[in-house]
Amino acid sequence: MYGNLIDALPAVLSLGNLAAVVIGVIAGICVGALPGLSATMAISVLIPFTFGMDPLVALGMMAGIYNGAMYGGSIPAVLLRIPGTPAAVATSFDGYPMAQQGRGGYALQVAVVSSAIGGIVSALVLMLLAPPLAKVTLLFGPTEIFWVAVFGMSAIVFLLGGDVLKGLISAAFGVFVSLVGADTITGAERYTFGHLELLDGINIVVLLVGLYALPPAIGLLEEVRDFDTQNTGRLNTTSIWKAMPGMLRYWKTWVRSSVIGVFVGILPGAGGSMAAFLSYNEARRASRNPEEWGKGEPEGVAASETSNNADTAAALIPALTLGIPGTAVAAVMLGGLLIHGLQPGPMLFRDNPGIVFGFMWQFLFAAVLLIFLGGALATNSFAQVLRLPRPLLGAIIIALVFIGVYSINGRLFDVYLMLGFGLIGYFMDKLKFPLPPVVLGLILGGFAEQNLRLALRIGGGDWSILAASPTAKILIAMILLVVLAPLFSRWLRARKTSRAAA
Amino acid sequence: MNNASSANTPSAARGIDPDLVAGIIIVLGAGALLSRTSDMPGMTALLPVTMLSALVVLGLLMIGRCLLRRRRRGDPEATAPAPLKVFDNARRFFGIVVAIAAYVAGVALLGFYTTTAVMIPVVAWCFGYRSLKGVLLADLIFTGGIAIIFVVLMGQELPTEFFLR
Repeated sequence: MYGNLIDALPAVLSLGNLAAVVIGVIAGICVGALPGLSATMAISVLIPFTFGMDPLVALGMMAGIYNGAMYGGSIPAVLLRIPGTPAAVATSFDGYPMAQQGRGGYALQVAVVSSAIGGIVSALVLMLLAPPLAKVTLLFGPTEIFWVAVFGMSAIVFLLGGDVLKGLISAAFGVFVSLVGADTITGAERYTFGHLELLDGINIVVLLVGLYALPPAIGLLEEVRDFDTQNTGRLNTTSIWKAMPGMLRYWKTWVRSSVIGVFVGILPGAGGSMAAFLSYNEARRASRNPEEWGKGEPEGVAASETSNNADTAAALIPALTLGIPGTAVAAVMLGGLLIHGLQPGPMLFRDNPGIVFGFMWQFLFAAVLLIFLGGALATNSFAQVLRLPRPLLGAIIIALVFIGVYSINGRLFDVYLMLGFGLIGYFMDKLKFPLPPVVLGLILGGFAEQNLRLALRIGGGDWSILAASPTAKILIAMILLVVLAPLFSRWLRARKTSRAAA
Repeated sequence: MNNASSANTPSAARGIDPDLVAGIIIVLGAGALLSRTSDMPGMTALLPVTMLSALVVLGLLMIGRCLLRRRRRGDPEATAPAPLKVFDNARRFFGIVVAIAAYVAGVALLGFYTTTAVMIPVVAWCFGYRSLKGVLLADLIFTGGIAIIFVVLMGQELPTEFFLR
């Protein structure tokens, strides 16, 4: 089962693939350090540029960006109390007070070492858990795959939290977008409105760039923000290697937070920020001096950063084995796999073991590289990205998304489509419609439809075939659990509140 | 992002709820698209009909929820959440939309490099970055870098310049 893992190693160690991971980590740290830009956005912008690349090079960059951005988010969180990514909010609780006390450099060193440890644990868990899980899912037929797709969409809508109604609308919109184009079985056109460009359907990259890359660019130009970047360049740090032995006392926090991060990562719908908050609270609860937390306790930075990086590769376990991304970044990464002709799911492990296992190694290397690339000198340099003028950055991103989308097919039609999705994404974001269900709907919609029709064809048009096998019954039960459990707990909470009020 | 204090002011409470507008657009849009499924073969129309019907129902639920919320806001005893604020700065937002539209139109008419070389300094300047040296240097590095990567290294064509057609 793990033989393929070893076989994939030589290709990953080639110069091109290693360079891709290094570039990805550096780019990820820079993007993560810029408030308002996330790993999801960076990967969305990158995907179109990876068309001509070897899949492993493209995936290596994505793995690097994901890991780098998770750490990069801590730089402005520590130095300016402005989290670069949502997952770095908990880092600012103790990181910023440390910076005010002149220990900003040490806070960032704790953050980078903790991020690396979280990332390494996460990558190892991905390597150990994904292959056996994929083997089990290989036994699935069209009926089961259909239910897995429905489970994926239900999980992300109902477990994501927030407004379920808006989550369902987002998912339905995503599925609808997946239906545009010629029906692969009957050849009938669906919502092409006479445009030949739409016959092959809507390219996932067009949707991803529109939803995830354009709204932040608009945001950069729309908001008039003024950061105090006076002290960002002066961190007063010693070498990270000298500081590391002193950090070993956080080992219990590293272990606890890694477990929490991995667990939250595997859960669909839960993300890095949830992992960081849970981990911060648990570490504070277990601390001997909880009253010092929030005033500059390095262990708080360690707890938050370990878990938000432990969430990264773990989020890819359901994504790679079942095709169900647990987070928005995982959903975008699935898009990255799809454009290279790699269909996420159990078949990926059978048909492309070199790529999927190589990708896992790249996650591990990216986590290790964080220590080398995020050291004192590098962090001092990365902190300078905070000085980039935001209007200039916004203009550059607009030009980049244009190039990225135009390059797919060399036609302006895709750019117009992307701009449309960009506006939809902007308003969805403002009105608090979750975006991951749209991407998941697009990825799983067509997949679910194909398997549903195949299952019905096998069953001679008999709909009862959808609940015939024990696996299908278990999956239906899981869907009901995922849908009903949050509704039940909400009802219980409301009852408790009304009783308390009475 | 949403300023609670401003959102809770009487004017915000009296204004049009963006969720209501979104609900109406969803119902009308999905309804219009649903009417186009009649000429599709049975199995081809299965998922579109299901999804669009679901969107109509969910949109109606959203409208109903907004109306209920509006009624509760009129009741001084009840507590209802204030409508969401859509724009941080509406003037800037429309300015950005116009700039992006002009950029895309410009690329189609004048070519990629010419338009990008003009767009980056103009947009950065208009939206608050007022360093002439910084803007021009960034423009030169970015546009020049893209030209080197796409033309020299990758040989990939972006919309041709008007003077080369």
